Amino acid sequence: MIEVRGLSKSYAGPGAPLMVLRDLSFSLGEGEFLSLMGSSGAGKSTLLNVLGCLDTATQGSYCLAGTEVSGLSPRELAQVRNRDIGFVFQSSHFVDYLDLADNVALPGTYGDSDNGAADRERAVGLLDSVGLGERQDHRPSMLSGGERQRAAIARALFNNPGLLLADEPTGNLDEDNVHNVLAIFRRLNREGLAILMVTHDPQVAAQAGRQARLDDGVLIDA
Amino acid sequence: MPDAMIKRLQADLLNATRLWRTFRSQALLSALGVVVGVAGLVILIAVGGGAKRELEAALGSLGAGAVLIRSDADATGTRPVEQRFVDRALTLLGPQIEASARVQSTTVHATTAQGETGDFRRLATEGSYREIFRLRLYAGRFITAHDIREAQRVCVLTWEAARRLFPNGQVLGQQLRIDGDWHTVVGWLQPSGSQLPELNALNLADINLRIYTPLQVRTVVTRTPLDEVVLKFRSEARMSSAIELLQRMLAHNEESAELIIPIELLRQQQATQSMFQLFLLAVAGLMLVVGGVGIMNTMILNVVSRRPEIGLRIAVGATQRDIVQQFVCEALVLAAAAGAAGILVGYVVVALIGWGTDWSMAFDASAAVLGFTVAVTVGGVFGGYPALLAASVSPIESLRRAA
Repeated sequence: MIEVRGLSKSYAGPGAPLMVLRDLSFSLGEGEFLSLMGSSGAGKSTLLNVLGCLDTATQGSYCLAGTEVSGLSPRELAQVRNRDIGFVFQSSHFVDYLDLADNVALPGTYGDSDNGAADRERAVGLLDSVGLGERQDHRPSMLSGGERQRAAIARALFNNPGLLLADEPTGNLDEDNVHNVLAIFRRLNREGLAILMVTHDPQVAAQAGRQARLDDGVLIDA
Repeated sequence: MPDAMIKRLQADLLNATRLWRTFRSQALLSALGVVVGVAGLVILIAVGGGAKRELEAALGSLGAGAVLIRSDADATGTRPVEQRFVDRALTLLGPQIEASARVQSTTVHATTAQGETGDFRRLATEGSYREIFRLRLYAGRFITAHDIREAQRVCVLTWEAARRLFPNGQVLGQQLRIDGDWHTVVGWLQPSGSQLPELNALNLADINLRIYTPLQVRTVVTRTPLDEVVLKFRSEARMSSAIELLQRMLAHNEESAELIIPIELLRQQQATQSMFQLFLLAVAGLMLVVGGVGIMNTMILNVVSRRPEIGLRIAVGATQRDIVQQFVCEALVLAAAAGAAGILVGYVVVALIGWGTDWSMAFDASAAVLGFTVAVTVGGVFGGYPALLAASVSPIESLRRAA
């Protein structure tokens, strides 16, 4: 699913460029579940942004689902984000003035689908699959933290992506909700979804089939 | 346009209505300027249209090629136009004149056999007067050459004069005593003419309170002066050259008469009105600009407060173009709603003005079309910059800040 070779990322600064990711090479196959740990500032979020096509690498190659993404145009990168990648953030962001089903169907707005009603129907089905089917007409602000995170997972799955990128998805949740979210991740992983999850919690990281650490921009044990 | 793009546009428009429904007070305040500006535009067009219609009616009833030679009142009183001056003018300008009418004008006291009385303007004149001023008969007939020749004691009443003197509606054939002499009412005119105060120089203010009687032939024969002579030229072009000649004649003969050219009065009035309309248009335009700035201000605040939403949309596949389209749609929906409200407010105000005053108002659908188009244009123009601002938001920054 993911093939990364010699990937580096640096930012221009007042002096020498700031190296955030250093010569990373690893792969993530279909149906694999990789957790990534590391201290703050180690480059975890930057790596996730590059893998999520929200940012571009300074050097190296990144192949996603057989496509080399480093040479793609902004429009093509948007298509990749829409079609191949699902995001789950630590703070589950929602559009406040849309109800839950329309929020889950948001990726459909930017896809190739031309049927809004079918999009909403699919969103309701996904909400059902995470136990929120009856909350489809509710505003996001009416949901608890755990419910919001489950709804965010439903949204990430809307376009049937091959890769799920999760940035501290359980960071703001209590124990029960951490358990619920991880149970959903394991189920999705069993169904063939590749997952890359960034976490600070070793117990959460242990739920993944593979574990790696990022230390000052260098990947260890991937 | 591909179906997916149409779906995206529909979604943007629908979501924009949801957005403004959610943030009603914000929408209302930012749209207020456009509402007032569009309402002003609608009112301006209605008032301007009404005034234009009034002027056109006045022009139509006076005729573009008419000139009045009227006795000039000075400190010693009225000095009527000499008949021989008129005769000479008619001889010189004969081929260029389509019609002429001599007028003797006095204020009279009229009484009916039933005891109804009133003061009216009597115009002793000829049949051609009706043609020049396009007076329309409601019933009966106007003054004829026979009436003048035989010195018939007949009269024709204007609409309002007849209504006052004969409230029961029986007008034709009735007897009316005018300054001591009984006259038979032979005609009744339809209400007509302009009530424009700007045309007071034409003595049209009492146009519906007149009594027409045959020109007193005896006075013409004895060369008794006239109060007014109306000349109707075959065309406006012919009138222009004739006016010059008439002015020279008046100066040469030291006649105490003035030339009144209705079309010039109307043109002056139109010019004044155009200036006033331009001023009002500028005020309405200014309001629309202020309204546009209001929308832009709200949209910029929106962009700042909705950065996480923008970041999220980019993360799930939105391009910069999609973000621009979304924010432009939001500005357009707000401006269109403001435009519709402005049109409604404008028409209500126009109806109230029309109901509460005697101003002529023109309800014109084009005012609504123009108002709406202007509002949407304002929304598009002033929503453009915030939309570009939204498209430049970094998704990484906005998602990190919100985390």
